[in-house]
Amino acid sequence: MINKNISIIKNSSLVIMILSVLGAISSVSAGVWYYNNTKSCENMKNILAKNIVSYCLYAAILILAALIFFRIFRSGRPFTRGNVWAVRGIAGVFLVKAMLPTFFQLSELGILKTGVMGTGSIFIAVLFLFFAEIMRYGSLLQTESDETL
Amino acid sequence: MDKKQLTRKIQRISRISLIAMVAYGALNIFGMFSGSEVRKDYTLHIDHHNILVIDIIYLAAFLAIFFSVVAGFVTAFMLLNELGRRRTPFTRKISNLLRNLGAYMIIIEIGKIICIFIAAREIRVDLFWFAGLVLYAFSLVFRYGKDLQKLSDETL
Repeated sequence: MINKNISIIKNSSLVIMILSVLGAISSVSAGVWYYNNTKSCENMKNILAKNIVSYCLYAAILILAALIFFRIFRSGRPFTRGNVWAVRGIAGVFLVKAMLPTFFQLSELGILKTGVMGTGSIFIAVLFLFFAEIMRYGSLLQTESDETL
Repeated sequence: MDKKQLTRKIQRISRISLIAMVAYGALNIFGMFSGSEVRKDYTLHIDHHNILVIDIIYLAAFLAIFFSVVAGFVTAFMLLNELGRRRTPFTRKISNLLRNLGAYMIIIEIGKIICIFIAAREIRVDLFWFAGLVLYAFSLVFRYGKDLQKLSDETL
């Protein structure tokens, strides 16, 4: 049963890894395209900078996701210390993304509106931290299982 | 940190996440009804005397989004509640709830793409479909975790 699950996990990880890499490439190219086509707009500099940084952060999230799924595909083990740290890394990037509106649009929109705008990303960051803890629990079980066998 | 401590920590975080989720939902509902701007370019005006197939597709996509959002919210609520109550996060029920949540996210993304395409003639793809796929992969990982948990329980 475990072996069957491992092969399913490996296959789905490969698919998601490829999609993550493609997504990261398209995010970076979208950021570059945005930069090249909009650098002349002086009056919207803050919003444009926020969008470009957003694309870069999306790319970082997707690269971290690709790394996690590459590791799972290679070893067939989802619960490793490295993956726990990578999931925490994704949570960190989401936290940075939550702070973006505050950095770039505080002067235009005011503290109340920028604060509300970032709550979604904070919520996702907390969920990822939560997943990291579950993965940590899984890694304890994995170590226990390895020691028993 | 041993398994018991970690289990307690997971249960604590899931309770906090549950409260945060309710607050987040309430904040969004409040935002919806408190005179937020409606984007005119994303609204579709349906002529009641001349309903076309495209209007039916738009309505179907809109209803799919609506029911998926509600079902997703309920599933997430049940998931966090289950995580807060169980001794282990790796159970069949939690794995199935994660898979369903992933499916709802993919439906929301597809519905959103259809609605925006019909109303504004542009294609906008978010990361929701990807999050749905990741949740599906996580549900498989949780199934693997369930087997590990069973092994661990049998050993002790």
